[in-house]
Amino acid sequence: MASSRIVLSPLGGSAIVGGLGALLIGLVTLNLFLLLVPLAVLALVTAELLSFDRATRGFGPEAFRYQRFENSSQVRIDGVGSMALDLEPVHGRPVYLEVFDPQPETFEVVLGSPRLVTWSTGTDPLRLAYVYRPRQRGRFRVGPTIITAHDPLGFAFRMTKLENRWDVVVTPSLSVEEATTVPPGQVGSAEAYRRRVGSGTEFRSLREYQPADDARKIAWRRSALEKIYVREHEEEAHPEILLMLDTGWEMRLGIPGQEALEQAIDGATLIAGQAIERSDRVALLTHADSLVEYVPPQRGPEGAEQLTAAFGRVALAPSPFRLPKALAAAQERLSAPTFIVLFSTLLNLEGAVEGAVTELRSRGHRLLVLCPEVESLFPTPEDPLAEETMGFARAPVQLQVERGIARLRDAGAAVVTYPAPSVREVAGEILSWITSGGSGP
Amino acid sequence: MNDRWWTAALVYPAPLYAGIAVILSFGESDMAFLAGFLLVVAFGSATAFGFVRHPIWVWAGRLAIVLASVVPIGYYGWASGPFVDLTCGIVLGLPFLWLEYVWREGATPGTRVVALQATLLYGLLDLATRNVSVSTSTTTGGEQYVQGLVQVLAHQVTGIGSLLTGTAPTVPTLEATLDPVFVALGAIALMGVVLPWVSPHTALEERLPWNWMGRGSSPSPGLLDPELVGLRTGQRSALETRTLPTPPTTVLAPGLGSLLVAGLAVLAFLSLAVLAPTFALLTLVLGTVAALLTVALVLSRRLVSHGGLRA
Repeated sequence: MASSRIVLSPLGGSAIVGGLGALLIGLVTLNLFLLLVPLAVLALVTAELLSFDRATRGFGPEAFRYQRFENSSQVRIDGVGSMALDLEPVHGRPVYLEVFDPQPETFEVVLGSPRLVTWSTGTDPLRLAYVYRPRQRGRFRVGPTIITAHDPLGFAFRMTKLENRWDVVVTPSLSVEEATTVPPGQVGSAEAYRRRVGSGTEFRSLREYQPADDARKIAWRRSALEKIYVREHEEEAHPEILLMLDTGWEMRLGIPGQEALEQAIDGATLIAGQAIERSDRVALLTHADSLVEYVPPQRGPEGAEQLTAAFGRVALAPSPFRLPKALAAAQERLSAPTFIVLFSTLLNLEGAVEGAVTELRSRGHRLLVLCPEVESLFPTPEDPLAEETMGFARAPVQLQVERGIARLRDAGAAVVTYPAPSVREVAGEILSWITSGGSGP
Repeated sequence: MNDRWWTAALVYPAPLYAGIAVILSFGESDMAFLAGFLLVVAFGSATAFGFVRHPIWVWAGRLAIVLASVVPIGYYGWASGPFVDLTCGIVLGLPFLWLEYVWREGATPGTRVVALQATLLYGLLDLATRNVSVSTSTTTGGEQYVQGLVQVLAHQVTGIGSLLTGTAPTVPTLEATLDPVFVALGAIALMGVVLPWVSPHTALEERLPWNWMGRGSSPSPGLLDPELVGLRTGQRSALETRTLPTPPTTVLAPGLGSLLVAGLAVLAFLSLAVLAPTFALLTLVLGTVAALLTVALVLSRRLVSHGGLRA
């Protein structure tokens, strides 16, 4: 276990060495005056260290009462978060204190400061507060807060840390306008748009039989000789959408902060946001070699919030993606025919993929795979030699991806490749295709 | 005027006084001797105060000055003439080549102390040469100075040697040299080195809040439009009431106490040196050992364990 001990700074060490050097010179001369110089320096350093030792006796986590408050635990990537920490010294000795709350590099502090250097009376409370703007989606950790007691002459310091880590989930921006939602129990335009008479399973009403009607829909119990009725069912104008994210390690392809996974989340967020605005139901499933998280179909602003939080929690897993297992996991959870939109690099496609896709299709689901073009995940080097080297390094990866695409297409899945920077445009087009009934891209 | 200039102003007089004292004693009318001294003082000052900054010029100048003082003496023996007097003047001004390290930005405290002590030692040697009797009939002032310097060094080495061996003890020249003006100027120079330390700063030499530095009134925290940053009321309140860097209000100057303790230690040692000179040196050595042991003890003590606390 680490301890809070006094650390001699380079300044302090240098002062001691300098004092000893001066003492050596003084001893060579034996001159009283030249002996006074090192005496003064060494006495000053020693007295200061003893004084600092006394002022910081008992310095450690126990020397403070602390509390985090008004801290954001979930922040949208286009929003701001807040951190605040109250610190009350209980050691009672005045000393210079530096309080520092380490935050991730992706947090840009826009107001206040995560660092405070001040004189502490030893009793008066201190408050650290700041506002930050996140620059990257994901789960981040703030803290632990580090407190440093400074010797005023810079000869020494003493550090301790408070076990007050705080997790912040930075979510993508997925917002749904309140106006697009329909109050419960009221059939508004959005609801009317979403539902129509068709071949669904949910009963809607009875109507009189017409010659073109399917005889299997005749409601025999309600019918009489003079009038024959048929059952009408509701059909979902848009099938449910399941956004499936590959979170296997292959999704780390790309430059930091803009990896394939981040691109995928960007596209999936757009689809989720726009689909929910149209009153569609959107589910989310994240999978690596096993199921990571499943968010059941969601609607409206509350559903959008749940999906937003889930998108914020998505992280790369240290394992490969297993498509057959992912499809099986999806199939278990889906009741109605669903459009499954899978975001994946399709690297390392192993197992009985064909069988899984066929099984899925036989249940009425449709699989659409969005796969980024490998070369678009990396910036193009200006140097021809570097470009050639990169192309050489990318070739086996691209080959693997192409094989995966071919396997999936053969199995009957629709696969769309897209340049990574255009993921949002492609996602928008995919959603239009889904809502138009899915007459094949 | 910043700390560097203050330190320079306090340190400069001591070596300047010693040099001028030597010139007045040996070569008042010897222009070449005086010119050599002034040449080094001018060059040292130019580099110290940033008039000559380029490292090539600085080090080339230093090398030229050192060679100009060493080569004539080492290779050609001792001769007379204005050139030799110029060389002697250069030797007299040598401390000004390293004097800037006493206040130079980036120099560690140890470097500053050693540079000052070396300057004072050289000044003491200069002053000791005044009491040495050299032949004045055939030599110029500059030559007299260098010959005197060599004699002082030789006598000092002999004296130290006899003290160490305990045979026929002779008093080393420097031990007996005492010039009250030089001591006073040296004390001022020491203050110039030590006082900047008292201005509170961290180990990384970042200024700590201090009333004397004009940081008494802390500005109120600026806050953006809450609608712009989308903060809750509680978050805004926390920001508005956050603590800002505050200087000490109940302490005159942190670190001043240690300075007073150091001053008292010096006075105690002086008293002991006057009352019981035999024990002064022994006390100093033992005191130094005790101080080092104390520092080691303070640094090695494990006081409080880290972590594992309630949040």
